[in-house]
Amino acid sequence: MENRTITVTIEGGKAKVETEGFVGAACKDATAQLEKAMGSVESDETTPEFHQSEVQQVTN
Amino acid sequence: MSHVARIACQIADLDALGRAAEKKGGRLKTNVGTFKSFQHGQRCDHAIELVGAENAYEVGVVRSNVGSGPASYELAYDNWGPGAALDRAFGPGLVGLQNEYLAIVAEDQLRREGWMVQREELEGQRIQLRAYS
Repeated sequence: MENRTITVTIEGGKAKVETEGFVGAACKDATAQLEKAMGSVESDETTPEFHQSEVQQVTN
Repeated sequence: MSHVARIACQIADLDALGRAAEKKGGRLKTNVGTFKSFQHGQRCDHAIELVGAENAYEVGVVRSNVGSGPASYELAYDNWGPGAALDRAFGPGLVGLQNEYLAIVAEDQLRREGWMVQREELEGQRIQLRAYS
């Protein structure tokens, strides 16, 4: 896997975690411990890329 | 982008809290029992003092959960009078201290997992970490 990035933006005592370049649900595995270390997850949104990647993985 | 998660700060790593306090000009004192504020004898588990400001109030670090599991803490302080120095050093509402804590915890965790991490200070006391595999 290439060009995987995790961006953490911290503001106002809260953190936003964004992932790029992961296939399907791998991004959630990659950030699970990070998110747990920082605190409690208030919201978690998947993006179209999250689902597109899973479809591509199944059909290839 | 694959997913976006929003995380509320929960203080559980006292070592990271101590390092965050040092970076902001403070010092974590462990197992002190009370912290300085307008009301004497405010209970806490640990406290953060401002280095070189012995008359200033302190931040109380108070355990927020019970039981035998890992401890988590809340911060308590009084920002009136001598407590204003805490807002100046740690940010209004201690946001600057919490931001620094989150940055330290996140960078430690990412490096443990083998990521290369770049840190950038943004406007408005914001911090951004970018991790590369």
